[in-house]
This record gives sequence, C-alpha cells and structure tokens, in this order.
Amino acid sequence: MPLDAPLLSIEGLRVEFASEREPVRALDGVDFDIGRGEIVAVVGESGSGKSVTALSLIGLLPRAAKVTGGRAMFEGRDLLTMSAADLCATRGREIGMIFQDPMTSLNPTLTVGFQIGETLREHLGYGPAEARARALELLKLVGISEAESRLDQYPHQFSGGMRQRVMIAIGLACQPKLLIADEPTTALDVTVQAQILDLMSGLVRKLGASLLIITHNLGVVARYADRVVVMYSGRIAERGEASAVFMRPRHFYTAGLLNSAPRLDSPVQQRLDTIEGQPPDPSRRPDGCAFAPRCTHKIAACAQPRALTATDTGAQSTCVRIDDIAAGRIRWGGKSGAAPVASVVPEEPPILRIDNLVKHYALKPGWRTPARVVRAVDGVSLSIRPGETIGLVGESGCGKSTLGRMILRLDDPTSGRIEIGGRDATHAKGDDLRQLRRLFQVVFQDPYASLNPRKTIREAIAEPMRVHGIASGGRANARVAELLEQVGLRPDMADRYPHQMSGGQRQRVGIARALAMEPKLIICDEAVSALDVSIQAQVVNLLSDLKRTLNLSYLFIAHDLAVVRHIADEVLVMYLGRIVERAPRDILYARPQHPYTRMLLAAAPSPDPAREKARSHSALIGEPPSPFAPPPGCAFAPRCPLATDECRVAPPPLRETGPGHQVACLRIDA
Amino acid sequence: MTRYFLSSLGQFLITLFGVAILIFLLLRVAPGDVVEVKMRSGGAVVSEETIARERARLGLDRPMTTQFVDWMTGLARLDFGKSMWTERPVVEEISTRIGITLEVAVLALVIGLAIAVPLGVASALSNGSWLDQAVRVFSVAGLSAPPFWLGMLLLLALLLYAGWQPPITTIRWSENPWGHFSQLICPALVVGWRLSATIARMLRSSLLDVLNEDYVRTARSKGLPEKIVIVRHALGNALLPAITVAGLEFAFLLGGLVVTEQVFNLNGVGKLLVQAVGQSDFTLIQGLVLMFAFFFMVVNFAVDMLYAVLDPRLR
Repeated sequence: MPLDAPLLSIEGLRVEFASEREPVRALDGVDFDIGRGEIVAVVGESGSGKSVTALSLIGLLPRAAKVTGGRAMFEGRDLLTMSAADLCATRGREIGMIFQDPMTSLNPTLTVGFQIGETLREHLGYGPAEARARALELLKLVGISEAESRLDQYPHQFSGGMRQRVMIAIGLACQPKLLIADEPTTALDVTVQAQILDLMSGLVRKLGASLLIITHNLGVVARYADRVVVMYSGRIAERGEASAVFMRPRHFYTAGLLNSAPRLDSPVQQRLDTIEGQPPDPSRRPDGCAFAPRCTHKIAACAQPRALTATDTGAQSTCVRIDDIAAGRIRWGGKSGAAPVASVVPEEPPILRIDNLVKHYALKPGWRTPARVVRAVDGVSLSIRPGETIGLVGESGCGKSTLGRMILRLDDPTSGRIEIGGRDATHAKGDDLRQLRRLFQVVFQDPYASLNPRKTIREAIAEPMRVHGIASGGRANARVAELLEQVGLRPDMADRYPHQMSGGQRQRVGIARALAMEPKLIICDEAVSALDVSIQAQVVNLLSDLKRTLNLSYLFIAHDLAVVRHIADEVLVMYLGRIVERAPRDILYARPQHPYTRMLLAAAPSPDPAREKARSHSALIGEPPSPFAPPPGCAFAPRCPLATDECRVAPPPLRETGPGHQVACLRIDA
Repeated sequence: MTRYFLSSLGQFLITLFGVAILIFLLLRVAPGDVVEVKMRSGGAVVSEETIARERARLGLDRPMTTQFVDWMTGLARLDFGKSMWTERPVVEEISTRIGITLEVAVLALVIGLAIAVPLGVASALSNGSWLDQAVRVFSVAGLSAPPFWLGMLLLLALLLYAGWQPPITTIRWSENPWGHFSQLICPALVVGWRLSATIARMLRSSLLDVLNEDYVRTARSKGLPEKIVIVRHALGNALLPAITVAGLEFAFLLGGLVVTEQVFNLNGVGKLLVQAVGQSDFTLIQGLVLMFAFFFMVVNFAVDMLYAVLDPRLR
C-alpha cells in the first residue's frame, strides 16, 4: 500500500433505514477520502446524514439502519464488509471515536481510569497496573490536573469539558490511525469548546493521526479542517479544501449556509440572510439536486442528477450552475431585507423592571456532602422598555434561565423585586398573577418537548386563550389561523400534531402560542439554540419582524453571542449569577471591556478559514467554577489574565465606564 | 453520613408510630374481641358477667387511650405484650415461627433471581424473537397463576409421579438438614417463580433502555467484545431498577407468605397471622403488623444502601 494513498476512502456509501412504508435512504451515495494526518470535516444540518456516515464506518449504526451499497477502504480493507471480530479489533485500536454528549457517553458506574485503561487491556494486552499507568499519562496528556487522584473518580465528578477530555483520552489511548469525532463540542460551552478542539486537533497532529470531524458548526470547520465535505439530504453538495469551499463556495447550499450563519465579524444587519423552506423529507428526495426546491437560481437542468464535478477552486460540487457561479454571473441571494430596523426606544416607563433579584437554592445534606447554598442568581437588576430587546448571554450554569423563570414567576425569588407593567409582581398570586401572565409569555428552547404531543397545533395555541377567557370556539379558531399566518405557517397546519412538523415549524408554533395572549414581553429562553443554522436565521428574522409590527419587548436569553448580536438592543453578560458587563449592542461588540466578555468573543469561531487559522486561543483557560463552591471575590478571577489579589477579596460591583456601559471589574479603567 | 443515618432512623420511627396507631384503631373498629371468640365460639352460653370479668382481666374494658398508652410504653421498653389467646409473650410466639418464613422468603428470592437474571438478559438481547416471546409467556404465566393453586399442583404432581410428599410435621435443621430443606423447597419454588416473573420483566425493559445509552455505544466503539459490553457496561446499570423491584417483592414475602404457608402447612408467621386474626388476638396482630412494617422499611433501606454501592453518583 503506497504511503500517499488515502487512509480511508469512502465510495458510493448508501444507508437505508427500515420504516413502515418503503425504506428511507439516509445516505444516497457518499464519496470522500481522508488522507494520512489530514483533518477532514463533514458539515451539514440535522438529517443531512453526517452522523450516519460516521457510524456506518465503525459498524455502530442503529438496528433499523442497513448499509446497502458502497465501500469504505481503510488500510486496504473494507470496513463495511468486515467480520464482527475484525471490526472489534479495528474499533478502539485503529479507529478511535469521540461522541457528542460527554455527560452520557461515559459509564456512570465505572471509574474514569478504568474506562481509559479498558481499551488498552483489550487491544494491547496491558495488565491492570500497566493500563493504570498509561491511563494516568493519557489524563495528563489531555490536560487534566491532579490526574493521579482523578483516576479513581467517577464521571459525575467531572465537568462536561473534563469528561470530553476523558473521551479524547479514550479515543486516543491505543494511538489509532483515525479519530472520528461526532459533534464533539456541540454540548459544551463556547469557551470550553475552543479548548477541547485545540486539544483534539493538536494531539491528532502530534500523533500523526487523521481526524474526521462531524459538525454543524461552520466556525469549527474553518478553524480546524484541512478539507471539508458539505452534506445535504444524504448526499454531498460540495467538497474540497476548506479555504476554497468557504471563501469561494461553488454550490448554492454552501453559499446559503455560510450567509445565514450569524457572525460576529460581519456588519450588523437587522435581518439575517435565510434559506427559505426546509430540507426535503428523505423518502421524497428529488432525483436531481436535493437543494433545488429551496434554491433561488434553480433551472430545468437541476432536476437531473449530477455527479461531483471539479470547479475552478479545486473543489468538487454537484451544482449544475458551477460555471455561472464561478464567472460571477449569478450570486446567492437569500431573502434578506437588509433594510435596517430603527430600534428607537421611546422614553416610556419600562414594561419589566427587576431590582437586585436573588435566588439561592438550599441543598440538603447528602451522604457525604454537607448542606450547601447555591447562589444561582445573586443580585441582578435590569429593565426592559416597550419595544426593546435585552440580550442575556452566559454559559450554562450562569443563572440566566433561573432569572427567566423568576420573571415568569415559575420560581420564587429569594429576595429582590420584580415589577411588570409598573405593578409589583414579586409576590403576586392567584388572579393577580394570572392577569400579569397575560403581559408576558415565554418561548422555550426545545420546541418538541414544550408542546403536548397529544394536542393539535390548534389546541396548543387556543389553550391559553381559553384559559384566560379571551376567545373560544369560532373566534378562537379564527385567531389561531391569524396567528399561524403571522408566524409564517399555513393556517391549514392547525390540525396537525407536533410530531408532524419540523423543528423550525414547531418553534414557530411556540411563538404563535406566546403571541396568542397579545403579550407585551416575550422571554425567549434559548429559543433558537436547538435549530439548524438556516432555520435559526428564519426564526430570528421572524422574531425581529414581530417585534417591529407588534411593538414587543424581548428578553432574549442565549449562549450564542453572534445570534444575540442580530436581535438585541442591549446586551447583558452573566457569569455565575451576576451581571459582569452590560452595554448597548454596538458598544459591547466593538469595545468589550470585561475580560470574560472578551474571552467569550475570542472563543466563538467564525466561518472564515483565513481569519480563524491566524487566531490564537491561548487566552482561553479553565472552566466556569462550580456554583456550589464559587471563589470568593470576583467569580471570574481564577480564569482571568488580569486578576490580582484585590480581585479575590469581594465581588466587584458594576461601574459605569461609558454611556450605558457598565462593567463589574476592578481592573478596567473607567 | 451520620446525619443521613440519623434522619433515616427518625423517619423509621415516625413511620412505625403511624403504623402502630393505624393498626390499633383498625382492630378496635372491627366488631368482636378475643374474649367473645374464646368463650362464645361454638355457640356456648356464657354470662355477660363472666365475659366482662375476662375483659377486665385482659384490660380490654379500659378506655382506648389508656390501652394505647400502655401498649406504647411497653413498646418503648421493647415489651410487645402477651398474646391475648395463649397469654405467652408476643415475642416468643413470633420468634418460634419467624425462622421458617425467613428461610422460605430468602430461598424464594435466590431462586427468583437465579431464574430472572438469565431470562431477563436473554429476552432483552433477543428482543422480539421467539425466545423473547417464550420468556414473556413464562413470565405472564408466573404472574397470573395464583401461588396456592400452583402449590397444590406441585404437591399433587410430586405425589402422583414421584410418589413423594414433603414431610408434614416440622423437621428441625439440627435434626435432619435434608428433611428440613425438602420442606422449604416446594413453597420456595412456587413463590420464586412468581418473583422471577416480575424481576425478569423489569430487567428486560431496563436492559433494553440501557443498551440504547450513549455509554454502551462508547463501549462498543472501544472495540470491546459484545459479551464484555453487555456484562460490564450494560448489566450493572440495568440491575438497579430490577433490584428495587426485587427488594419490594422480598419485603412483601416476609409478610405475605400467608397463603403459601397454609397450602404447604408451614408453621410460619403468615399462618400465625391468620390464626391471630381468627382469634381476634389484638396484641399478637399488632406485634406482627409492626414487625412486617419494620421488615419492609429495613429491606427498603438495604436497597437504598445497595444502590449507593452500585451507583457511585448516589454516594
């Protein structure tokens, strides 16, 4: 086998899922190579088949799925036809695997050291002592401090980021030739994500292994991948050098995807570019270009299937109009009304004002743990005026959702005051609370979990109207139809059930349900985080439009700074229960002051290979401290490059450093 | 840790107190008492005076609160009182009979687990196949056939086809270990089958859940042979819910062998309870019920402890 031959060569991979009707083709002919020492990224939205591709390579497809064609030649052997015993000998030994959710991917009842050493004992015949010694080395290699004592700990004693480091240690334990990482950082916070990716790609390069990284995050691809494979609806849309594909996309899907991703480094438009519509149902995928129904430049020839064809950039694309794109005769133009929306906030009394809100949870003593107090929210004040959108940004565990729940009065504050529409709502009960709740509504993150699966869309939207005695019967039906149109759904969808709709459509239903009460304020708790990029852009635009036409206010809670940038007027950054920085949107993104805000901005990868590869992530260190044992003083001090002893005494208060700009940091000069 | 134990102990005592009040009241709401049963059964004519005298002797004529306080102060000194029928201490009545019940219950649990674990695992791994169906039939049969009926069938079958029947009189372990064992094995088999059905079904469904867990996929991605994946990574986690069920069923057996003991003519606490109820022997019933409640809580506590051993997240 020549050395320059690819390590893995996938040809014509087809996978079908059994279903009650005819089998559904999840992969419809996928071809790409991975060279030795190369980092290849497969990108695509949910349902594009990217994870199925990865799982079929190592024989871990779910039961209902079957490989129906193609080859995957790895070191001269076909992974798809290998015997079960050979596959076992390959998995873990020659091909390591890292999965998405580190919280569930490790066995909760076995020690971390054992789970790392297990691979070594199985494949390399290590004895228990040898395996332990090597597991210790590996833990150190993946940057876990006090590795010796952590070896005998269980997964639940590790944070998410640390668990993913452990997964990397397991994946690399036998020094495999190929590491497959399926959405390795999707479940992690942005500052941790960058550290994990740096670690993983660094180690892979050091060991000379190849890396196949499956992701939906274009920024991740731009930063780490040598080559990229863009998948759409079970087929490859475009593949090639990452820089070529990102800078000069030659498939309209690639272009559309890149345009609809909210970015920190593009000029602020009020509306995002979107790809209208949604990916086709894989059982009714067109023979020709699967993207054609959503493409603004489709022509008759798009109905014919087309193989991957070389483009002028050195990449290959299945787009029929490669030449037209290359010559600049046509360009991707999504629906983007670039008309800026005037966010003039009239000087009206605030619709919501919260004052020094505190939520402490008292935890009962456990077996070995004493009673503790978790300061989930520790003195937060903010106010929202009619028509204003406040973005509340922070990583998981910072208390942003608890704050939202307190405003909704789903949780009672420990102390502080909530004022809604000028009335004290802190302790409102019964009818009082019900009346207040008409003023504010909520849209949750998971549109599937927040809709009752046994109720039709009509019932879901009409229910709050009925409960509050606003409308019933025919009037309610008319209102439901009106609301559905308002959120861009067809009124005849009212009789569907949630499972008959896509994620984006369900989130629109969630918005329609919130609007049914004609609220003044909507709390969006990670309302677009679970959606694919192209769908996310549609929903963000919908929210901006509704805000303008209905003069709504939003409290937009999110972890993604780029999304917030597109919708918020003012941004608040939260860290471990406290606001560390607040500023009008443009000021915050142009001149962030708090070291944590700067870290967040630095960590967010942007879909621009040139920029990303030039950037250093060395400033990213540590993980948010446990809310059970927050450090005294500034909670960010342990990770802060500027921290001094003074910072570790007491939490710094918010200080005004400019017009509307407040920062809770002692080291920033006003 | 000490705090945890203390708070558990506190909950124990409160629950026992509740059970004590309940059983005390319930017994006195029901008509009749031991004196009437003793003296008037069989239609004997006894004067009201004699009955009143006997009631006074047993303290049954005093106000209920006084009786209750007396009983409670006794309990606080671990004095459970005397049987109103035999007038021997309740503790003595129970202790001579508890052994056989415990032995049957433990043996039934062992048999139940020995059948349930392999069956549950086999049917989960062959989900939907003929084997899975066969296990399901076996389990449903075990659940739906009443133990006393099964017991009689078993005895009949032994007599008809093997010409053997278990010894009728109680044989002590010290006298004849094999004879003693042969008295236990039939009831334990009958009860164990039923137990195995519940546990196997629980184990099957929890193992199916666990097999879909991400960490099982991780184990497979490490290239571990399927056998190790199942035994080491899946089974340990899948056993947790099965242990809860086994614990509850076992605790139930300690007080619930009532019918089985009748069928197999075993002189255990189940039979004692039936007797005591028939004789309206209040103190004995109270003592037995308190003991059953105590067993139930101890077994539950043991299950909690076992959970903590098996699942490090709970430690």
